[in-house]
Amino acid sequence: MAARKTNPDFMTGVPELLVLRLLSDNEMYGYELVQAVQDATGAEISLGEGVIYPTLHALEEQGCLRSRRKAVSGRTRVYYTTTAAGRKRLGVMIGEWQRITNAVGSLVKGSSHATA
Amino acid sequence: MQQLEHLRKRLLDGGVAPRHVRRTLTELRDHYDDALRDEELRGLMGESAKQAAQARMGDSDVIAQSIIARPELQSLAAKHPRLIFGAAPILLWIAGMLLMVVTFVATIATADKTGWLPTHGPELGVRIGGAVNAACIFANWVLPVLLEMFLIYMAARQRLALRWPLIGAAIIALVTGTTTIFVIFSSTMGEPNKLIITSSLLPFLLPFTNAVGNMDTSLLARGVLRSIVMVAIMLAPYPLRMWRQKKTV
Repeated sequence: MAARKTNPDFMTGVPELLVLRLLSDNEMYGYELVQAVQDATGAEISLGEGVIYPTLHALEEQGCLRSRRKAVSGRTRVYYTTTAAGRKRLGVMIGEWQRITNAVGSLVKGSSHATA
Repeated sequence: MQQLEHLRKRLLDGGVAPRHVRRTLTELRDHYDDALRDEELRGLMGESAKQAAQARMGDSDVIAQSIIARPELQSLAAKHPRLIFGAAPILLWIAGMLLMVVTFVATIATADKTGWLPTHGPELGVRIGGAVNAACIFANWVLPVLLEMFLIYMAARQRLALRWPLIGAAIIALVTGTTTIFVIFSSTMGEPNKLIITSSLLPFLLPFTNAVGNMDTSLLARGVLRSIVMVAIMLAPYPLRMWRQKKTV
């Protein structure tokens, strides 16, 4: 397998947020989620296999996701969906995300005004 | 895919629970099939499609690192080796012994009420003496060996370091190998039956008292020899499992 570009360091925690957000609308399997993240973010964010499966399995272990095997077009896939705990966690994460992005945004805006 | 076999080994070496390893590999295999189909739909054929799909999968070492880094996905034995391999065998052995004693007492109590078995006197020993002492030998010497064989097999299957399984095996073999358990059935009516538990090791560990028996070097030597034989049997599954693992690779 060839090496490929990874996401920046400050992406820590973002995969959980994206996965919970997307799975709160629809149940999906791993490959579908990777495509959905790319589509939803205009290919700005790409979750690799090294991120998506550990994230899904860890969230399931924490009780935030539920999985089930489902046969579609002759193939069995593992579909994931959020649980009540997962939706609660998503709410908390969205709140934290907005607080951080507002804080970082105002700082970045301030420093760009200063350098202008 | 050779990369998946490499990934499997990396994950097990990293202490990831086998159920997560199996599931990750299944999902990655499906993921690769989906990626390959997408590449073929885009017009790539044969080897080019396979190469493109593999490139999309990313580096198997990066995948392994990110899975190993998740504490939730580690096996219980990898997270708590002292507990699983060090303390659990002794605790399970004690539980097994208690279960045996409770079963014995319950059997005698039931027999006393229903009258299907004489509860006192020489006839009881004649009727069930052989079975009870066979159960004592099983619980004392066979059960710990089976327990440790299972744990060592599990450690080999998960490719865990042998340090704690070996320490656990040595501890339980020394404790149980130097312990003797048997039942003396009353030979006269009215005399109670006795469950005897002796240890040839305890008098040496507690030399300031003879409440646990007298120091007997020859008894201790016999117990230690038994312990060595037990450890040798306990370790048997390890080379067998490693050979099977090599064979499958």
